[in-house]
This record gives sequence, C-alpha cells and structure tokens, in this order.
Amino acid sequence: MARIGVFICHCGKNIAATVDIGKVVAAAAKMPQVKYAAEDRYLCSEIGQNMIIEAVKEHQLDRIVIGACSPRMHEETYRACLRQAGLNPYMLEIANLREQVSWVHPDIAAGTEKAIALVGMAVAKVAKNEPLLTKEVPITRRALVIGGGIAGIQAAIDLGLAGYETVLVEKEPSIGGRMAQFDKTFPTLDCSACILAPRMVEVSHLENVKIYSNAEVESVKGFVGNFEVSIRKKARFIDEAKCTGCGICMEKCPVKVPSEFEMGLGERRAIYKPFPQAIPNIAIIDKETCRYLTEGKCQLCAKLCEAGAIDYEQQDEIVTETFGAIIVATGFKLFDYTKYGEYGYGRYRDMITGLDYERMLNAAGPTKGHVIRPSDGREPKRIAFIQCVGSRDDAKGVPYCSRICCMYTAKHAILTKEHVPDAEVYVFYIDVRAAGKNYEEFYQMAREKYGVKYIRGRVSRVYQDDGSLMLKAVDTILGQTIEMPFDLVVLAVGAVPHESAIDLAHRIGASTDAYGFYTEAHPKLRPVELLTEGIFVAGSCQAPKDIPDTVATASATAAKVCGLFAKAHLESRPMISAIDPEKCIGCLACLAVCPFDAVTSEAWRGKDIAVINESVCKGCGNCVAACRSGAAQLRGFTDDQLIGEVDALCQ
Amino acid sequence: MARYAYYPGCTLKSSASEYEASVKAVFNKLGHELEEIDSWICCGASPAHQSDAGLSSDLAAYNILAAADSGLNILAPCAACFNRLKAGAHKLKNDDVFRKRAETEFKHAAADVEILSPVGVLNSPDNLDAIKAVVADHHSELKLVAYYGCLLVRPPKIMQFDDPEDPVLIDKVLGAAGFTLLPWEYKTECCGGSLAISNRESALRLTAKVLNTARKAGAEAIVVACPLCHQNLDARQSQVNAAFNEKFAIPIYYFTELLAFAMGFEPTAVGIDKHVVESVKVLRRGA
Repeated sequence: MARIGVFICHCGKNIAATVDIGKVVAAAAKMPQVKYAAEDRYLCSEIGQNMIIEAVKEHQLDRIVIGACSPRMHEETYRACLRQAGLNPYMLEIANLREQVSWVHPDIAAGTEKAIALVGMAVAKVAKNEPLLTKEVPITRRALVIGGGIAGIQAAIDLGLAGYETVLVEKEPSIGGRMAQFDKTFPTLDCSACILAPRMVEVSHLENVKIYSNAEVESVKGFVGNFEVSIRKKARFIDEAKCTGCGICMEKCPVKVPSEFEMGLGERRAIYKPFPQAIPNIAIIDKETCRYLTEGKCQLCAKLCEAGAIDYEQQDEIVTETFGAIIVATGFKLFDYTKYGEYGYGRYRDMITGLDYERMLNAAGPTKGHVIRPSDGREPKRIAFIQCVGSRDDAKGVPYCSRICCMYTAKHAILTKEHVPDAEVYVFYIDVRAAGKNYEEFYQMAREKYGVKYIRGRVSRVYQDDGSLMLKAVDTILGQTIEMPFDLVVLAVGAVPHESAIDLAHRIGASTDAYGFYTEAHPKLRPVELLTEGIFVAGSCQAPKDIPDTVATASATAAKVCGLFAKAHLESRPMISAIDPEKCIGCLACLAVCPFDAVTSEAWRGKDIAVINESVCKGCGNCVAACRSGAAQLRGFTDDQLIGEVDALCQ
Repeated sequence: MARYAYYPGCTLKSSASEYEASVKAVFNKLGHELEEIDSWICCGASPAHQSDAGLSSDLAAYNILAAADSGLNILAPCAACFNRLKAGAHKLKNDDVFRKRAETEFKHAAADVEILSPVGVLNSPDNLDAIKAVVADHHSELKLVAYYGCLLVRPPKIMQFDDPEDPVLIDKVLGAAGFTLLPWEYKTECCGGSLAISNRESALRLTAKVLNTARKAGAEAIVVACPLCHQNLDARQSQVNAAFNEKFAIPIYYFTELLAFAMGFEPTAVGIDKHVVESVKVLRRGA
C-alpha cells in the first residue's frame, strides 16, 4: 500500500484566482492511497518545502504529488525537497495546475474540475512509481574550445591556468579573430594588437593548451563528460615543425592576391602569413592560387626555404580526441551590405565598411594609416559614417541591434579627426547606444571635443555624382532634407554569425535563432550554456557583443567547465530506457528507431538481444513505442504507470 | 499571340495619346490583340488614394471586376493606372471583407485577374525574340537613359515589379531592339510630378535634377513608361529652362514609341511629333 501525500500550491494568485484550491485539496484527500492532502501559498518557498518535509515525517508518506506550476520551473526544486525528506527523488509527480489550467481557463468551475482530474492522474501514476537510481559517469577532464578569437583565447587561458588540458581549434591559419584586425579599441583607444598579442603569446605558451590552427571541427559524438570529437587539420603545405617563420618565401612568391586580413584593400602572396604577429608564426600556402599546386610550375619557395619546410604533398589530417566539455566561441562576421540597393549594391569604390576602415586607420595596414579614397588615392575631406547598415532593419531581415556599431563609429570619427584634422566628419544615426562603462563620455567627447557632426536621420540613398558620393538623408531634428556630396562613405555594418558556425551548431545538436546566433539555455539566467549539457557558448556567436562582454562570457564558460571538471563524476539520467532481456526477442526494431545511437546488440543466454547504452540514452521513448514484445520500458514512464493515469482520467 | 483586356486610363486618350498609339502599334505588330474594357472608369491615380482610401480601392475594384468577364488579364500602360489596379487586385486577393463588399456592390464575382504592364509583358522571352526578329536591321546611335519614375516599382511589396532600387526592364527591351541605354543613378528618383500644382517651385527643381543628371550621364534623350513622367519632363522642360536659366533640349520618348520606330513605323504615325520638345529629327539623326 502506498502512502501518498498531495500538496496544492496557490502560487499567490496565479493558481488561486481561477482554481478553487480548497475543493481540489478536499477531492485529493479522498483519492485512493492518499494519506494526507494540504495546500500552501508558495509551495516552492522554504516554508512550503519545510511543510512537505514535516508532513512526510509525520504521516510516513512514501511518495508525493504536487499540484503547482510547470515541472519546467520547479521539478528540480521538488526533487531536492524529497531528497531532504529522505525519499527517493523520483517518487514524485507534478500536476501542472498553472500553465495547463489556471492560465488558460478563466472559468473557475471548469478549471477546478480539470485541476482535480489532473491531480487524480498524478495520484494514480505516483502510486505505481518505483525508486530510481542514477549511475556514476566518468568525466574526461579535457576541454575543447572552438574558435580562436579573444573569447576562445581567454577561455583557453583560464582553463590552461586552472590545470586542465585544453585544445583550441581555429579555422583560420592564425588565432586572433577580429581583434587582430582592429586598429584601436573603444573607449580607451588602446591599440588592439598591443592588448591582444600578449594574450595570443600567453595561450600559445601554456603547457596545457594545444592550438590546432587552420583546422575545423567535423563531428561531435557522445555526451557531457565524454564527447568524441573529430577535427580536420587542413593542409598548410608547410611542415609546422620545421618552419621558423623567417618570411623569405613570402617575399619572393610571384603570385599576388587580395589579402583577406586586409579586407581586400591590400595584398598577400600565395604563400603567406595572415599578419605579422600571427600565431602560430608559420607560413601557409593557399592551394587555390599557388602556381605549383594549380599548374605545376614555380616552386620558388621550396628552393628558398632554408629549413626545408615546404611540403607540397601534405594532406588534410583528421584527429579524433575525447573531451569532457566544449566551449563554442566562433565569433562573428560582417553583414553583406551589397544587399542595399539604396546604397548602390556594392559598386561604389569609395564606400567601405567599418572593418575596411580599421585596416585603413591602422599604421601597419594597407595604406600605412593614411585615410584615402580607394578610387583615386586622394585624402578625403568630407567623410560620412552611416549607422545601422544591416542592423535594426526589418526590410533586410535583420531587425536586431548589433550593439557595437555606435561605439565603433564614434571611435572611427575621433580617429578620423586625428588623422585628418581639417576633415568634416558626419555620422548619420537613428539612436546612439553607448551603454557601457565610460562609453557615453567617449561618445560625448566625439561630439564636443572633436566636433563630429551627428545627424539624426537615415540615409535613404547614395549615388555617384562625378567623383563624389551624394547622400540623400533627413535631419529629423531640424526637419530638413539633406543632399550632400561626400568624398568617402563608411558603413557601420552589422554583425552576423559565420555560416560555418551555424553548420557546426546543427552538427552538435545546438539550436540557433532565426539569424543563426546560438540559442542560450535561458536568456536571463543561463547566458553562457546551451541546452545540450556540457557545451557552453561565449562571445559574439551567441549575440553581438563588445570586447569586455566577450572576455566576461569567455571566463564565465571557463568557470562553468571548471565546475563541471571539479565533480568526481557525473550522474546519469535515471529516466531512460530499460530492456527486459527475458522479454526481448532481438528484433532490433528499437535500434532502427533510436535517434541517438543508444542501442546495440549483445548475446545473452544464447540469444541476441538489444542493450541500451545508459550514458547515451536520452529517454525519448521511441524504442518503447517500437518494441513489439513490451521488453523496452521507460523508467519512470512505464506502460503500467501511463495506463494507470488514463484509467484515473476516465473515471 | 496573346489577348489582353486593355485599360487605357484617361491620359492615354488625351495628353498621352502617342503612348496609346505606340503601344497599339507595337502589340499589333507582334501579333497580340488588345480589347479595350467596355465600361472602364477612372482609376483614381494619386488624387484618389491621397484623399480617400476607400474610394481609391473601390475605383480599382470596379475596373478589375469589369474586366473579369472577358477572362483576360488587364494590360495597363499608364504607370499610375498600373499601380492603382495592382493595389486594388492585391486588396481583393487578401482582404476578404473588402472582396465580399466589392462583389456585392458591383454585382460581379471576383476572378483571378492579373494586372500587367507593357514593360513587363514585352520582356517575356517570346516577345524579346519576336522584337529582335522584327527589328533585325535596326541600330540606333542615340544615347538614352531610362527613367522609371516611382509608380512602376513602389511600394515593392505590392508592385513586385523589377528591382525597386535599380530596375532594368526598360533597358532590357530597348537593348533587344538595338538601342543604347546608358547606366545612370537617377532611375527612380522623384521628379516632383505630384507637386506640379501645389508646389510648382519644388516640382521644377526636382524635374531639373532629373534632366541635369541625364545630361551629365551623357544622355541625348530620356525614355519613360509613364504619362506623368512624360508630361513633367517634356511639357515642363521650357518652364525648367526659364526658372533655372537652362537650355535643356532633351526629347522624352515613351519606350513603345522607340520600339515602334525600330519596327519601321513613321514617327508621325505614332504621335512622336506631338511632343513639346522636338523629338522627330533627333530620332532620325540617331538612326
């Protein structure tokens, strides 16, 4: 005989306003095997939980039914409460009287009747519950960080210093990400490379950290504590062990192509290092443009290399390693502004993006820090910065704010005045968002100290007029239209995630939102975790963010991983499939329908039967539905228990 | 050989009679038939939709339902009529309440009538081939720019016609007929037409900009597909000259006039001599 306790929560007015709690409690008290029924205003509170614990002791209850909010809210809370009361935490059933009754049925009588029915079902089920036990799952204390920008670098440093083996995978030939391309950073105007490079060096020197550059994650299998990851190390055609980074090969290579790092404003050779401070400090051959690899001619680099590091035969290498936790930090790229017909579909040479401008401002960049018009090389005297290109724009499918552009444009405006003191600098904006520490003061400095002209109004059209770009805009504060020629137009282009990152998300079973940003487990309370246990997310691949927030989320993910690795072991899920070997006929229908590859076949007493890998099984129940002999049952949701619920409902 | 329910609108019967003449000439030469809708009425154009949204929708619905019996799609050369009819068709399709009311009011069931512009129709692969065949020997040195105006392409969600920022259909069909169309930046910029009476100064200024930009682009003439664009750029050119001390002498052609000329029609046969700015000699000179 079971001894069931039923507890109904008012949830303040959330449930009590549309469900007659008294009636529900009275009805529950009369249900079969119920020994005690009570109510409370806030069952999840400490008072409420203490009441439950006291009641368990006083009435020797051995299983509990809660009538309250959705289990998604407080299932864990009540399980913990049962543990405290000395009961197995799975001797619990929750009837959702809030989301499924009170919040959707305004009629009190009908709502109360339904609440009683749901409680009745829960009582019938809990009567058939069995205690469930978890198993220990070992943890491989190695971390994988995907993405070698500042987020990935910070996370890898934190984990390396904490003593954990860490692998940092970066798809470009060098780590550094977007920060390596910036000139100065707001609001301090620190030189970006100067603050980034020491971190790059630190992460590359940490004993615990291995960097796989020019590499991409191909597949992720397994589960938290035990991820099996295949990584493709793409061929560099350079022997990493031999190359000294001396640079002779790239001086003499005859092939010149636009440099991706310089945003096409400068050139590189077919054999190259992406930028001087690249880490690893090793060359790479671009197989699409190298004369030898495409036509079989040249080989000049091989002749010149004193270290004998050139290896034209090098192949991609796939390595498979095990990790206990994964941090995704794949960053962002720029929105493709050539979609804007109003701005010329990308055909104006003197219209560039903010990132192009960073390279131009940079003293080590393609123009040696000179601000010039790409069309004729002359110094521009009137420059326009247009905000929100590819952000806050429903018509282009990007309604969100990219967060960093108001600040980086203010920075660009200030630096422009420093580089070209007599330049007229205009910023066309919708709102100026300067919400960080010292950000507002920085923006005001642009206006007051540097005389940058801020015009509140979108630019509706840009067109070529002789050598200038004409801008049609509106000054909404003065109520005037503007049509002015500019020498150079810089677009503050929005941030979007990399396609490869979206693709990766699908491969690791992570959700992305409509724009491809990784979906965090909870937008407020779990911003650096994914719903997949053991996988964490940092930096702009979750949502556009500035450097301080990027570094903060990176360290947060490292802390989460340390927390995970600090456990002696993990606990397996108990509500998973169990196959009764006596009943199993070995048809393996369950294996065919399992989405998680959790079923294998083994010999048992002379017959082949299906066996569940309890570490992988997620408890979805497909095998139970497919099983013809009733051998597969879901622990905590057996056929018997579920039929009991249906019977109770059909009274 | 296609048949269309032909909706002329008011200007094609009066100030834009050369547009009607050239449309009919071109379509007949290509073997198509235009059957004028019997009971067509005013489409309302801009005055209606600016002052009374209900009236504007009703006018469009009336005309569409009037054509429904024929089972043919509507061809509306005037860009304003095209725009209003498309808006009306869009509303009939998507607004159930409006459709039921219109059907009751005008005592006719709504049908799936497509609203077409000759700019779009003549760009079909078959028509382009036919045009190329008919004008085989024609080549013109005349440097042209195509001015699309606003009504053909906006609002993009309703018109769904060509690229709203950089349309190309007029350029394409004239290119097939051996004309040289120059690229330029002013294809869809406002000419000030709707301000012609209420704010003449602004209208002249905006029209002057179109003419000036065309001239800067190297154009000797401008091609249009809209009677109001034509009126503004052609009939008002002398006023622009007076107001801004200019000497513009830029002929404005309907694209169908040029097609007709390329097909062998005499300019006077399709009314090119009716333009205010001298347009016949220029055309012959370029041939």
